[in-house]
Amino acid sequence: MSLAEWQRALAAAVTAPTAARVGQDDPGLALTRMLQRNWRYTRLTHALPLTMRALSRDERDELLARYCDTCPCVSFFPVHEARSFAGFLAGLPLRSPHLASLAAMEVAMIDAFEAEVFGDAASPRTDAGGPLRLAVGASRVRFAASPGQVLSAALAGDALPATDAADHELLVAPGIAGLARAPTADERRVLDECERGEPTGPADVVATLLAEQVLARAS
Amino acid sequence: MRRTPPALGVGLSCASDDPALWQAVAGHLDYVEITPEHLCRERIDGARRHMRPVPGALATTLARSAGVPIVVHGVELSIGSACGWNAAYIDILDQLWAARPFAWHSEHLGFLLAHGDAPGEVRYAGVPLPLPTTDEALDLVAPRAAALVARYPVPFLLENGVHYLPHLPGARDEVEFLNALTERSGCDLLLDLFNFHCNAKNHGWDPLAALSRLRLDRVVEIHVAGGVMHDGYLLDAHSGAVPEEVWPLVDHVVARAPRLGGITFEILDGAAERLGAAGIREQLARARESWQLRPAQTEAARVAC
Repeated sequence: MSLAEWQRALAAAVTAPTAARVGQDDPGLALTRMLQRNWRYTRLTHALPLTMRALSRDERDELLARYCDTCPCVSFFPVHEARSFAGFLAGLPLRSPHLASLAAMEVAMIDAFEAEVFGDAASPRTDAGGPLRLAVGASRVRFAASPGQVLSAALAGDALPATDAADHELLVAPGIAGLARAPTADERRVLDECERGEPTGPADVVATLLAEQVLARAS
Repeated sequence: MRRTPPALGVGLSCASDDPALWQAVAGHLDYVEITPEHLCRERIDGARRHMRPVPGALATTLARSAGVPIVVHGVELSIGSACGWNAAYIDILDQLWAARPFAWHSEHLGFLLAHGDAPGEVRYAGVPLPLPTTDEALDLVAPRAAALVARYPVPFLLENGVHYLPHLPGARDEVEFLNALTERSGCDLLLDLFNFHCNAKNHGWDPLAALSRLRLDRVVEIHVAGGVMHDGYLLDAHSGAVPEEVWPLVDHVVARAPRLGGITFEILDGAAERLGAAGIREQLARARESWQLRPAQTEAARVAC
């Protein structure tokens, strides 16, 4: 067997779903598989601390096992695991809608930070003619209760609050002080219009969203 | 002639960003080992990876190390991958060298990237995996290591890894492979004596007998760390104090390694909080006892090695 083939087979065995390996692994390979999954869990704990804290132990173990079986590990860097896990949670019927919101919020914060690191946060230009769009590194995160209450409860390790009928949202963007804030009603209208096409909202609102790199003009 | 590293002394490898911890150990360190990936973020575009330094991260790291020299220990090069190594790591190493030259740099001997099932697909293993000790593995790694030796005017070291697999292909044992690799590539060794101890314990061989066959004149840095037992295996976990059984191995190597530049205590940030500054200082003090066992020699003799 060539080196490439041997490496392909070993990496496949280490990363394969658990059910595919039943009865096939010697103890050393089983241990290597366990360590690989422990590293994935460690990366998620690092990148998504609030989300991981909000999961019960049983819930976390069950979700992580399913996650590792269905979503490949792609990097040493925790942010990739965080994005992948947030996407995984978004597609599940969860005990609490807050879990997916927390993961989306933590990933949005990472995205906003990395937009600055990679230099692709839009420079605020209010006079250019291109269409407005959500800037790279900017996100709108929806919550099913007050974001402040959800985040405080997750931070304290308390029970997450009950959902309510109101439509809650946080804006996350590289140019916002502290990276996140609640939008005003006018800003939400402008952002909704942006998603449908060109906004007609107040110019000062658009200017603020451009300055905070929530919006950018496509070139 | 091989490049001679400076004889630095005792160092620490820890990703903790707790200023109090660094302040408490600062006077006990001769150098700090940093991992470039901890100062970066990565993007993946298809098969290509890019890394960028986080603004201010290097300055913060250097500030906490209070002006002592740095050495570099990477984790993401994947030097042994038959599908190609991670060139993004080299890019970031170049940037780090330009920003702050290091006394030497090192990487893990192993692989993380492998071909996937589909043509062109690359699979990331998620945990460092060992290399077989075959001629093909040697032929792959030696020229890559030689390229890194030539890239900077400081030594490049490869680190022996830990593994739990029962049988690796190849006619050589680990020591013979390391000897052949350093001979062919011109690279030096980062001898992780906790890994060496783990492999000896888990796979049933005598570490001192193995060390007697290893080219100790290639050893530039020693790593020591703590681990845990799990299901009958000793795991490399960087989780606390160095087991007592490892220190005699350290003493043995230090007394016989003429080009040794330093002994580094490795600990994960969470474990560092548990061990505490006093516990870390104890480990550094024990490492310094070993460091005193270096063979007496002049700098000229070091250069001649």
